[in-house]
Amino acid sequence: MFSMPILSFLIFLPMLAILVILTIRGEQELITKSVKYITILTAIIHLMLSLYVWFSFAKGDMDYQFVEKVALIPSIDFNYYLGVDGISLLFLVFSSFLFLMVFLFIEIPKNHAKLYAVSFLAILGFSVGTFTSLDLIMFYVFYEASMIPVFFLMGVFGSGNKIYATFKFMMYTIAGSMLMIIAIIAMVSITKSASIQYFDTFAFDYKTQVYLFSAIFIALAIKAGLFPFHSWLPDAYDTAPIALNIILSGVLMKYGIYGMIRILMPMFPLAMFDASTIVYILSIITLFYTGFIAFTENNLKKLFAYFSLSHLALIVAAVFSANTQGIEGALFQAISHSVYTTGVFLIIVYLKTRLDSNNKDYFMGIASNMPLLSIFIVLIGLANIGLPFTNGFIGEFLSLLGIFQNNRFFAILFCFAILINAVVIIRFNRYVVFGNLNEYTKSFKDINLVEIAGLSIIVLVILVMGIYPDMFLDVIHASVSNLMENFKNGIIIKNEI
Amino acid sequence: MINIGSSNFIIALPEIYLIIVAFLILLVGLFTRAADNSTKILLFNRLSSLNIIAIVFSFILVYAIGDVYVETFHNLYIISPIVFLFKLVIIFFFLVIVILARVYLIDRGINQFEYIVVMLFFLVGNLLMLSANDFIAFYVSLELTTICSYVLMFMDRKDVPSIQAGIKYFLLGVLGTAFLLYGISLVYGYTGLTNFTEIRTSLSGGAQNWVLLIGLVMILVGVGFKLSLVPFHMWTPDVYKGVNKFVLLLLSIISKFSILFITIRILWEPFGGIIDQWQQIIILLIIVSALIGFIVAIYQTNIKSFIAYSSIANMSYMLMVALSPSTVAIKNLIIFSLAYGVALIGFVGTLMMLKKDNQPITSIYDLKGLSKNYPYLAFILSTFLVSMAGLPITAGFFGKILVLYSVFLSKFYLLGALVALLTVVMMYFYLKVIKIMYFDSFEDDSISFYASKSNFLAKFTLGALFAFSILFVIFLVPLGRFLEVVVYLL
Repeated sequence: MFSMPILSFLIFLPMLAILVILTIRGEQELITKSVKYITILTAIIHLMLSLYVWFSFAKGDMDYQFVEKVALIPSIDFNYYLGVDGISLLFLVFSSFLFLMVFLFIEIPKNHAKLYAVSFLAILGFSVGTFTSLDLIMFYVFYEASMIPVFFLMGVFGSGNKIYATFKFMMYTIAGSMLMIIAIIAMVSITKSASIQYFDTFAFDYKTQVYLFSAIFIALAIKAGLFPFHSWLPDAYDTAPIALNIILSGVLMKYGIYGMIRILMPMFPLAMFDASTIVYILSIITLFYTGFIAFTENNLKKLFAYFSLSHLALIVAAVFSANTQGIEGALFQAISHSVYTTGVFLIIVYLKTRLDSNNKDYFMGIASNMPLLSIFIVLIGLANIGLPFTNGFIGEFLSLLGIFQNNRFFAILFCFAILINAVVIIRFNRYVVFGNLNEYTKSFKDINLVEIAGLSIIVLVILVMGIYPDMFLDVIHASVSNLMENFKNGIIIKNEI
Repeated sequence: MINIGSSNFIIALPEIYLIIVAFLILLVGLFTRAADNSTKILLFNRLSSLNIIAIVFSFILVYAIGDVYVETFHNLYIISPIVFLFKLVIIFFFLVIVILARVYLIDRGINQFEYIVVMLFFLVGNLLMLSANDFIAFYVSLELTTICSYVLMFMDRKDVPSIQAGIKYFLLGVLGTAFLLYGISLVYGYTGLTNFTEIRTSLSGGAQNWVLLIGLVMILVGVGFKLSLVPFHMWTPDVYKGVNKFVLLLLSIISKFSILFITIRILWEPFGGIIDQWQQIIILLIIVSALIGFIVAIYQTNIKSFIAYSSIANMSYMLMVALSPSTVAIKNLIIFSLAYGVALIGFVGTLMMLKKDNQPITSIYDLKGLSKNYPYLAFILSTFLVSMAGLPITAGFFGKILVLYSVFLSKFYLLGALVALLTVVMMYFYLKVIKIMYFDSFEDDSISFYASKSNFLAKFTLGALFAFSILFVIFLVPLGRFLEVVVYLL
């Protein structure tokens, strides 16, 4: 087996790049240019290394692989402990991919280029840490540390009412994380161990499970933007720079999903089992509520913020269906959502370079002037709706299948709810692509080669995932069945009591 | 070993040594002709170098004596592993503060050599207090430190607020001391004893006597004044606002920490047998202090009064470990105090170096646009802030979760969760300061920052504090191994 600490390297490679960037001196233009090349180079190496992990990963094996362990506080079994299973691997590779897309296709702002690049690279490193930590405290450290660069990115590079949105985001996040760390420390104080593997098989009693579950669930629901905890998200999306939007929806919101699967399911199976109805109700409310708002929203970024919320709600529901199809669907849909949302935000960037506005009404009828971009908008839109042959279809289908096996009534409701998504996207196409040309869009030029390249990569990934999903599902089968086994064991303990 | 009678002088060598150095500095100062200002400054500079070296030596002495368990001087004085750790922490912080404040003090026009002498006596008082094994010894050494701090405030003669603060601190300090002394005498009245160990044995069966309980409450009120726990906190913002940044650090770090440490020892040692009597009082004090401290702190704009409320809040957080005696609690308390102290000293120490329009920085809005002029200083400042807030990777985070861990370990789940959730409120303030430094646009270009030329040692120290705050994970393992010396309590 490969003995190099490759996961640590994946975490510290961006940190290394940060050190290099901090030493750059010179004129602003030179700095911007070199920062761009360094970030792209780092992201390419990062993606190649994570693909290496992907291909040398033993797929049938249920255990964590590429494990690294260094003791930090032996008395509470707190270790620097990394490792991947299929679930982490999926998130790891796709975060790496998204960062490459961001660095390649979104321009670095001229002012404060260093701060911009440093913040993104830091998030990259921390997100790898979050997805590969096998220690609860370590997981929390990376999870929470990723928010500090976001604070700077939103505050410095944001637009509009950025201070309000930044503080709302941070206070929501910190309050949620504080609940989570309280729960984690309580768990550690009960068992004297912080290792995730240890908790996978440890059974708390029912009452403890309910308290711990509620605390951690609220923290993760804030991240995933479930209904009563969602109000930070539209503001944050509206004011954040677009690159951050991609990372927020593609990586940071997925922390919520990942945490639910990695922490809530195996550790609090009884509480999770009992909470599923409540979570279904919250998800349904989120789906209808955000769907209707997205329907009437004119601000492009807010529209897709609400749209993301409704997708995330379905994923959360699928996680709580707690069966193999549901979990696999949730995982697959989480990844698909990252990919096509990246496409959506790339399109918004390309529209905004032509006219700096967020208002949907200014971009009417671009089909006649920008046929190529229109094709991409339609294709990515179809993935958003979940049309067959796109990745959205596989994800939604598996998710709904999982929910159906668990609770038919809610499954039917969910089927109706996601129709709203289709209405939103079709209406969007009806106005933006096929509407009447207005005074602004008349002068628009079609996308150039670089822009085509960016969107083509996204569409390619969408199609590959849609046509041959087994390539991605293969990786997670073993881990998900292991997870399900732990979960079922947890439930059986209840029946014995 | 030098034994005169039954006393072991080697054990008290650090304090004896520091007293000798203090008198030496006094003599040198008195016999040196310093007519004009520049020679005074030169003398002050030389003597503060001597001072720094002396403190380093006393640190080495404490370390060399080690974690033995010895009671001496008719059991008035004690060295135990816990006292050993407490002393190391206090001397370390004092050393760092003195190094960072050297240029600042001269800048402020404080160049009397007596300042250094008083400073040293202040340290000696704190060390003796930590080693106290008797209420009389505790009281006398506490008075030594507080009298030294009054003098330190009054010696900043050109600064009226500082003198005003000195008088306030004096009056309220005397009030607190009166409570403390009355409490001690009531305890003596009940038990007939003043020695910690003897009181512990006599109370080990528990006691319900109301004279003893009133004595206990009076002692807690007295320490409450010194620790500025709510409802005895009113003096803190006023006093902190008036004093200069050096005395601010001495008050908020050195005195606070050493009084907290000795409070924990008093609660665990003499009153360890009646734990159920004082636990309720401490819990109440913690909750009220946390509520007032964490919530009022976010409305402050003056940095010093913010530090006052923040120290009220953090004292309540640290006091949580006092609730149930255990070695884990002590270890985690040490880690927390290191993390918090380093962050606070680093923050104030950085501000000492900064000036805006030739004025010292007092309000948080003075930091507006700092990231443009001094990007690295702004980054260091925000790291210290993040560490004080307790966000991950910084030292503050680990300190916070470890204290929380020991609180949960003794089953105070609700209390721990409440206080930890209250810290979220204060994070708003820390984020606001970072926002002012980074996000607020720099409207007026005429405002200029000036980082005073400080010596290499101060810069190096600041860098070390910064590295400690941000790379704390690396220090976790050696620190944990070092703290293994605490194998038993007392």
